[in-house]
Amino acid sequence: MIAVSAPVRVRDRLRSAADGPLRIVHRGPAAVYLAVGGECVGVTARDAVAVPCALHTRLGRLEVSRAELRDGVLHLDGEPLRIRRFADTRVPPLPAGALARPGTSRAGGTGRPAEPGAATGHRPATGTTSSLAALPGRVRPVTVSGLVGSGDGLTPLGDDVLCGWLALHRAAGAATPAVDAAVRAHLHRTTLLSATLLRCALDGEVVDRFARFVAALGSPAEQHATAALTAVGHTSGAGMLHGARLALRELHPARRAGRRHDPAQHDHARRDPARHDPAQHDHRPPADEHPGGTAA
Amino acid sequence: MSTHVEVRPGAYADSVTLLRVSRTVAGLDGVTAAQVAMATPLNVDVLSGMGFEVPAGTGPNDLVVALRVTGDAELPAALAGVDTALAEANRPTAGSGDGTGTAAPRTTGSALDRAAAPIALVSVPGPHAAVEAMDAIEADCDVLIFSDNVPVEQEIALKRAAAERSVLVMGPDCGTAVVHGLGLGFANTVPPGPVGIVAASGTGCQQLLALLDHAGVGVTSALGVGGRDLSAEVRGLATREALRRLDADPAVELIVLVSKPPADNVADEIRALAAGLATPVEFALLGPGRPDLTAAAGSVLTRLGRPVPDWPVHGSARPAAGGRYLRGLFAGGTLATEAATVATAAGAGAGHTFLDLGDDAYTAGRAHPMIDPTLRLEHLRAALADPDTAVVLLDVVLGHGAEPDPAAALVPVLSGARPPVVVTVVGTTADPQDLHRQVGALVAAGAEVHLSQAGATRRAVELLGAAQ
Repeated sequence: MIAVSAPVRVRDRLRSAADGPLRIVHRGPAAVYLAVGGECVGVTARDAVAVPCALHTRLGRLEVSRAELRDGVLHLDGEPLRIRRFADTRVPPLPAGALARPGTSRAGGTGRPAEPGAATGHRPATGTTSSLAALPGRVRPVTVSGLVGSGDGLTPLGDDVLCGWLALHRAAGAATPAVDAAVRAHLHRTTLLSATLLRCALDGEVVDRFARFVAALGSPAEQHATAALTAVGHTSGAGMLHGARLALRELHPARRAGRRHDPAQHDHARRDPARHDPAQHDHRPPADEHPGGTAA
Repeated sequence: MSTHVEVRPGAYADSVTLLRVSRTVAGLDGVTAAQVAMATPLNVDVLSGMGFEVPAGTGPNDLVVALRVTGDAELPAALAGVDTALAEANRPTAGSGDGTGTAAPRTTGSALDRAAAPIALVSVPGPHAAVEAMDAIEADCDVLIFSDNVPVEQEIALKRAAAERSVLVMGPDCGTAVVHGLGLGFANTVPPGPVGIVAASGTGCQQLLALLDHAGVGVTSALGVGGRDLSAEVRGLATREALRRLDADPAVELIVLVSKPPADNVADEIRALAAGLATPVEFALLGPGRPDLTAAAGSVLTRLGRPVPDWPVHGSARPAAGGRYLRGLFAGGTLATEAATVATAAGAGAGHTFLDLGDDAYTAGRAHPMIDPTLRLEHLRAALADPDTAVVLLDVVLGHGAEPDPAAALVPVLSGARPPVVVTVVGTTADPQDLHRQVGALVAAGAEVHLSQAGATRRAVELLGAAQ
């Protein structure tokens, strides 16, 4: 038996899927990704980034030739992986003041966001900056088709940008129903893993380093957290950071003259359970969701 | 059949090690009973109950090896098995060094010098716990003190020092904590969620975790503070820090404070502190005339806007058949107290037993009954055989740290028993013992199994009424 930690969504995915052998989507020493009931479920090694769709082990390295599901329990080469701790993959609320200050998060900039590695000491992979520059500079329902599946690898860069943008909006409590619908409509155009990570981002679930980045915004820990996020994968961290900065720029009060969303109000609602109903979560679209919105 | 009792003066091993050694030796061919234990008065009583005669003058500093074997020929192999098991148990484990051949640190201070850590767990005999805990506090490290028998003066000194540094001291005698999903001590596996718990009661906290889990509500952190924290002496020093920590955690939407009723003026101070927090606080203060833990869980769910489910009941107890008394045998102190309170409120009358086998009096030189069931099984056999027993009420607490298969030890004793048996199984579906398997085994043995301790107690009182 291998004891693992896992997000609740992974437990639920495994419980609801049919027993039987599982297709291995990707196999490496740090992570194995499997197709489970139309989504991707990963298994990661000890030092791998904690992915919101994966079971996290304490194993130093993974060598897997066969995977199957029995009674909702994943077995690798016949060994069951038992969930012994639930991982919290929720993106934390945006810290108070994170939108108001033009710090290293570049929230208040008026042009494109700063380069992913700016002021962090960690430079992203060669070519990342030009690849990001080639992507749509705004996330709108009409630009989503130019982002989903755009790029190479298991998690194309355009998807990473979208994950960062969506998760940052979830952190701010800003609903984005039109973009969400566009993302869902295009999920078939990307890899199974990336589509699953986009679903996670739509639900406000993120890799641990993105959660730490959000929590650190505006604090002395921001620079270190930004560097750690940038170091995720080949370009994934840089892509998520870029998406987050796009979102921060769009959500910045100076750019939201219409002020149809107030994060402080969201935080107040969260603190009062009597008034909190996840099903009724702020569904007002932010201005940028509308072609005629207030953002420039 | 041959009996062998051997005293080894000055030899020592801790109670959990000796439990493992006893179980290993009891499983050897030709061995029908084995008990290797320090000769505390409690353990001498247990040995006597098992039919072993401990020589006069044997004391708590002596190790007793007591064996019953099928014949003299088996004794040498059994004694060799004891020595092997003791040597194995005392061998350093893979995690006890740093992998480079360097000896493991021998104090908390030296451990923290080698590697910074956000939290230290102290589990040493009570008289030595304060020294280790102070090492952690001085390194600005939160500390969970699992040890009991720590003098209250030392607890106050530790918590005052911690308050000056904004360090959290969980304990002493802190049995349960969940820190951002990581269980420490006896802890259930729960998903993250909107609730944060401050608990001056270990099993009270576990009951709440289990009920909320069944209702689909997760808990981000459950911070134990020790049963004396809200007393007039300690004045909630750790509770204040724990409340501040949970208030600062953006994932926590509602804080629940679980405790016996605090000393009056301490309660006022804590309520004033809670009123100044941004996060609302639900008080679950247990005692006569107050809501029980199940009612407290219901209040939490209502405050979160969630429906309160019907708490599950599996199986059906045998019909009552004589007897006069309810016999409650508990591993959890808060559960024992709650059962007594609920039974009294339900009109059970006098003469009933609500025994907390986790009390200090029953754990001197022995592991806690959530780890070692021996003592409770002995009491259970006696209760089931007693014609005055009308109904038996038990708790089974699952989770990390608890014995791996509690039903396996209980089922042979419960099967075929005359009195009806009602059991509260405190656990979650992700607990290592497999909640459904434990419940199924107990039901198959004739027990009626509840998730709610209050519900189980009311059912036991109902059966008691039928017996009378």
